[in-house]
Formats: sequence, structure tokens, C-alpha cells
Amino acid sequence: MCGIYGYVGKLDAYNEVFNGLKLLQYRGYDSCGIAYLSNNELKIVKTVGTIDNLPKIKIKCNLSFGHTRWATNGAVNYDNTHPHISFDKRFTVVHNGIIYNANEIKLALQNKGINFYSNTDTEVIANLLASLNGDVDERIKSLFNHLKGTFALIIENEGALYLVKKFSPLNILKAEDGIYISSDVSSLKTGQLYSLKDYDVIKIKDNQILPLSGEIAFTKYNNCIQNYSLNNFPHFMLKEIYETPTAIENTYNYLKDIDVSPYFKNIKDITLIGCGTAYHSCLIGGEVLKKLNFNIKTELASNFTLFKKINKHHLHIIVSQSGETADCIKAAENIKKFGGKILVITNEAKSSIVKFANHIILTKAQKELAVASTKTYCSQVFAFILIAKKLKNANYTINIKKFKKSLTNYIKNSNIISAAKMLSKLDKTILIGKDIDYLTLLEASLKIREIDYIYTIPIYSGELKHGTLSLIDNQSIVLSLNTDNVANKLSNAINEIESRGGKVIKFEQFMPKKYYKDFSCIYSIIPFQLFSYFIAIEKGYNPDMPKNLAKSVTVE
Amino acid sequence: MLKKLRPTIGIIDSGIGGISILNALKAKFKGGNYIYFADNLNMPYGNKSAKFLKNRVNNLINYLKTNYLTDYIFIACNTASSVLKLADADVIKMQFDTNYTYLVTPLTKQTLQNINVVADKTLAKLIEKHIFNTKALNRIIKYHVNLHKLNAMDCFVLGCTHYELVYDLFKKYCPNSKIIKNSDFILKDFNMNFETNETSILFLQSKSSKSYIQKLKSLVED
Repeated sequence: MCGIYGYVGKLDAYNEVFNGLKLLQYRGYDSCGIAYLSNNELKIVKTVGTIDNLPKIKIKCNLSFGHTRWATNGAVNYDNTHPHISFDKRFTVVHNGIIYNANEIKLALQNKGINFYSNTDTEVIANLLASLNGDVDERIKSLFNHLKGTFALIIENEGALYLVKKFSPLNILKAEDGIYISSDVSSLKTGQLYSLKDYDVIKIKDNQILPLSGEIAFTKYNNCIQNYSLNNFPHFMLKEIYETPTAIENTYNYLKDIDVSPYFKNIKDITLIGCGTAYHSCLIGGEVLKKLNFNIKTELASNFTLFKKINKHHLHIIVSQSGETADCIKAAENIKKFGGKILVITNEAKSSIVKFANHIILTKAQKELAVASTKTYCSQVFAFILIAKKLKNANYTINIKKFKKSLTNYIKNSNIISAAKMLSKLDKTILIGKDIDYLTLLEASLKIREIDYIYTIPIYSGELKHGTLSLIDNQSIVLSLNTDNVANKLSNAINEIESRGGKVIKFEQFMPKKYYKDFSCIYSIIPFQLFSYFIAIEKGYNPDMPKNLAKSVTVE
Repeated sequence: MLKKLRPTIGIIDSGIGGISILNALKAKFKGGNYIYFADNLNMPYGNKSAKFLKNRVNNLINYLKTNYLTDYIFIACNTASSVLKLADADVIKMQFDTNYTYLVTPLTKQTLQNINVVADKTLAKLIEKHIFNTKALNRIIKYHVNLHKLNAMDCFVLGCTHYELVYDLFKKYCPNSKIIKNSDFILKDFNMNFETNETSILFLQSKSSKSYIQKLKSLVED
């Protein structure tokens, strides 16, 4: 995971990297550090926590690079914070990824008498470079022979920066005022962009970009970073829930003119693959596609492995908000290896997963910064429903303006705070529902776990009496969802809970009386998203940056 | 001033023979970081094809370089050395001198030209098997000395590192011959600069066997 950002040019390099790293914090915020070249001496500042904990240094420097960390190897502390320096002080490294054979290399280096000051695999890379023999360019190229695993690296040696990429993303951008490097294109300004390919090595020296292996071809890239401000909202999560109607409108406008039927031509079996929230949208997608007589299977990307050739009637749909999810990319590689067809649904048109896709469908939710996915989940679910509708009826349309207005009013008028206050006092809860509501509850449950740190058990209402009911006492609060509000659907389960002193919050009460029934899954998740947000506020947590997590999971 | 790193030295042999090189290196340099690779899966090298050996040893060299970051690698096997053509300066192999007569394995004989050699098919394997059985070893060496009439020679070189392990027995049965260890030649010219007297030895093997590692360890001289 982690984010890396670098800058070489005429602007204040430290400041550029400071601001760049802020945009990458969604990739991890356990700790961060910046290296900058001042009077031909490389200096380093590090801190545990977010970028704002770093000092704002006003200094004239033209080269700087930094790192924001999501801990994989080694605890969250100052020593393990990047950048890491080699024992001979000649190599300084920031790294995104995991080195699987780091322990073996570390032992070999320790046997040579090298001491280590951190528990990271990154310090191993720095010391490995210092202990190898020969020319620096060759040493850096030989990293591919020594290191097993995934890595995107910025390495500094005597004023030159080296960029190395295998699996983890890395991009370089030539702009008028300098050269920018980042893990994520969306954090870059307008200019000429090149996304590094695996096994690329690029050297930046004296403002020149020199490929040491592979060829590089720049393309024009436009971005407007100013959209990422809070815009009077207290948190990005709330802002992004409020942006859901626009995200859906944009996704509709993009999808309405696309004929999706060729993607599904002659397809009998569909496997939907995702992780976390995207997996939950796959579950809903599976449910709606099932009605069109496809054989549906839904798989977690982290648990997905194929062993035999895939027939031509089988389509794999991979959903990843960022398009950088390592588990999804591994799954895509696996499918390609066995000759399968892939349809990717992602929010990032230029992401790593796109190169594996036979077809791409974009969700136009725009950038989402809060770790908990809200508007992107709704856009994914919306895309699935719309695809299913269009497959059934090629001329399917909705009045998107009305739909947007209905959603906007619904979000504005939701009154969920008192329920949130009630649950914020507890450390566990059970969610019950049936059919597609249960799938919505899986996502709702994840939201409450990830940002409120409350243990949640989503369960089919009928299953309650087969074991889980033993958890209910007079302190319990159970959340129920019965979208269609069909009498008796959940009444047995609710009675079982209430007769044992438990309290039930019925979430259908927060839904509007009139809504677009085809899209009920979107209406039903929104109260839960707001609910989890307000619990976090009540508990004093930062909903945008839950502990131990990061937005884009780029490690397996 | 930064301290000099302790170099890592890889030693590759088909079995226990390379221990003679390890012992010689340990005696010459006070400390060092040694990785001993016994390719016991392919023991003995003496009856393998040249093509197989070239491939195998090159793979092992790459393996030690990438995984153990070796600074030098000794091909502690005369057979493998005789088939390898190497460009890397950090890989040191056994050399053969036309001025001497060598006792070697059959494959080494095939690859050497213009050198006086006496080839033996089974001796390396027998030494490997009976290394701790003094009685058997005495019988084996005595038999082979008589077989090849080594005691009638003024001088001969032990052209297999396995033979070097039983140098004393050769001396016993050839009291009037000058016997030279082939490893003496390469070690005489080999030097490294470092400041440490710490020694570490890691034993690796291609066919997993705890007792084999014990066997290797017990042959290392203090």
C-alpha cells in the first residue's frame, strides 16, 4: 500500500511534495516522511500520523520526495517511517509494496556486518543497493533479480532520482514547472504523463528523464485538483454521501449511450469478483443479473484462483473503485492466463486493472477521498442495475433529473442522528434482513465496523433463532431492514428479539414513501452510510481516516 | 569512515569435498561469512555430463549471488571447474597445470587436454560414504594407490577436493611421493581485505537431510 510522491523542478520542492502527499493519504496515513535536497545535502523529516504533523519548512530546494505509509512490514513508529537510508548514506529509498524475500536478504546483509535500524523491507532495499558491487545504474537494474514481491520505488543517489516499478503503480509527469512523480495519476497536475510499466527503470538527473530499461512514451494529461476541497462540509465522507446523486447522474449520462449487449453476447456464466465494498456491490449485481437467466457466481478477489481454461461463454466482471486493488489485479492476471473474458467496472479510467479488461464500464463518481466508500458503492450498484435493465430492454431510460432530485431531497431530509446517538454507546450490534436487503446489510455492517469500530453481525432474519439469538439481552440494539415493508417479513425475528428485551431500530422508517423501486438498494444503503458517519462523530472518531485502514488496497 | 563489510564467500561442491577449501579459507583469513552449497542431490559430479554440469553450476552461482549476495564464489570441485567457462571475476574455479600429473574423476579427464591424468571412477563416492570410517578409508586408499601405482610416482596432484580430505592417508601409502592439493594453487593467489574476525558458516544442500548437514559440520576444522 502506501503512497509515494516526488518533485524535481523550479518550484519549492518540499512544499510540492507536502501537498502531493496530502492527496495520497487515502493510501495510508500511519506515518509519513519527506526527503529534500538542500545545499547538496539530503535532509529527512518524518512523523507518525498524517502529513499535517510534518513541519512546514520554507526552504529553497529543487528536489524532494516523500512517502505516506500504511504499515505492512514493521510496527507504526518513527524508525519504520520512510524514507530509509542505506548504511553508507548513499541511497535513500521510499517504497510502495511488499518484498517477500526481505528477511532472507536482511539475514545475508546482517552476516556481512550491516546493522538495521528498522523492521521494514525498505531499509533492506537501501542496504542491498549499498552492498552490491558495480555501477549505480546497474545495481538498480539488478533489483529485479534480487527482490521478490511488489515494489514502486523512488531512490535517491548523489542528486539523481531513480524510479523503479514492479506491480505497484508509479507515474511520472512532465509539467512546465518541473517533473512530478506519484503513485496515483489523480494527484498529478496537467502535463505530459507516463505511467511506468513493470520492470521500467527511469533516472532523473539534471531535469532530464532517462529510461534505463524499457521505452517511455508521454501522453497529455489534464487534471483539476481543486475539486478535492471540503466545500464547507466537515468531512469528506459526508460530502461524498451528498455527492451520490451527482455521481449517479454522471454514471447514467455516461452509460445511457453505451450498448452493453455485445459484452454479454453468448454469455451463459458470469463470475463477479471484488473486495470489501466492491464485493458487496458484486453481490447486488449478481442478484439483478441472475434474473436475466445467467448462471451467477460471486467471488472475493483475495480468494479467487483458477486452474483450468475458461470457456468462451463465461464472463468475469471485476469491480474495483480505484482499479489498483492488488487482489483484483492478481485475479485479472489469473483469468487472462486461462483465456477468460473480463469486464472491469471501475472509477479510474487510467488505473492498472484496465489493461486486463476486454471491456470497461466506468462509474463516474469522481474522486472519493474518505476511506469508507459511499458514493462509489452507490454508483457501482446503479451501474449494475442499469446494465441489467438495458440488457432486458435496450431502450430503457429513466428521468435522471427527477431521480437525482428525489435522492438529493432524501439525503438532505434524513433524520438519523438520534438513532446514531443510541448505537454509539454500544460496542456490538446485529443487523437483520432478508433477500436483497441482507446484501445491503452486509455493506451497512462493513461501514459500521470500519469507521465506528463496532462489532457487527449481519444475518438473515430467519437464521437468528439458529444460534445468534443467544447474543440478545436487554442491552442489545438490533438494526433491521425491510425495504418493501411487507408485513410479517421480519416480524417473527423482531418479536423474538423484543421478547428477550432487545431493541430494534427499523431502518425502513428512514426511507421516503415514494422512491424509484428499481433502485431500492441505493435508497436503502444511504441511511446506513449516514448512520455510521454520525456514530463516528458521536464517538469522536475521524470518519475519513479510520485507524489501520487505507483507501486503496494495493497489497495482496 | 564506514567499516568494511565482511565478504560473503560461496563454496559449491557436489558433496563434502569442498570442505577442504572451506577449511583452507578459514585458516588463511581470520573471519568471514561462508555459504557452503552441497549439491548432494547430484552427487557425484564425476559421472554427470558436461552439459548438465555447466547448467547446474551456473544456476547455483546465480542462486547464491541473488539470494545470499556473495562477493566471491569458489567452484570447489575440479570436475565442475574443468567444464565451466566463466567470465565473472568473482567466481573462482580450480585450475590445472600441465607440469603435473593429476589424480581426477573420469569427467575431468575427458575435458583436460595435454595434461597427465590418472582417472578414478569410484574413489570420490567412496570417500564421501566412508569419511568417518577410518578402517574402511585406509583399505580404500591403499587399494587405489596400488591400483593406479601412485606410490611409484615422484609427484602427483589431488585433482578432486574429496581426495584432499584424506590427504594424510595418501601420504601414508605414498611416503616417497610429493603430493599436492590442487586447491593450494588458487588459495595462494586469493586475497580479500576486511576487518573482522567473526566467522559464520551457512550450510545449504539440494537434497534435504539433517544427518548430511551434521556430516558437513563435523568436517569443519576449528
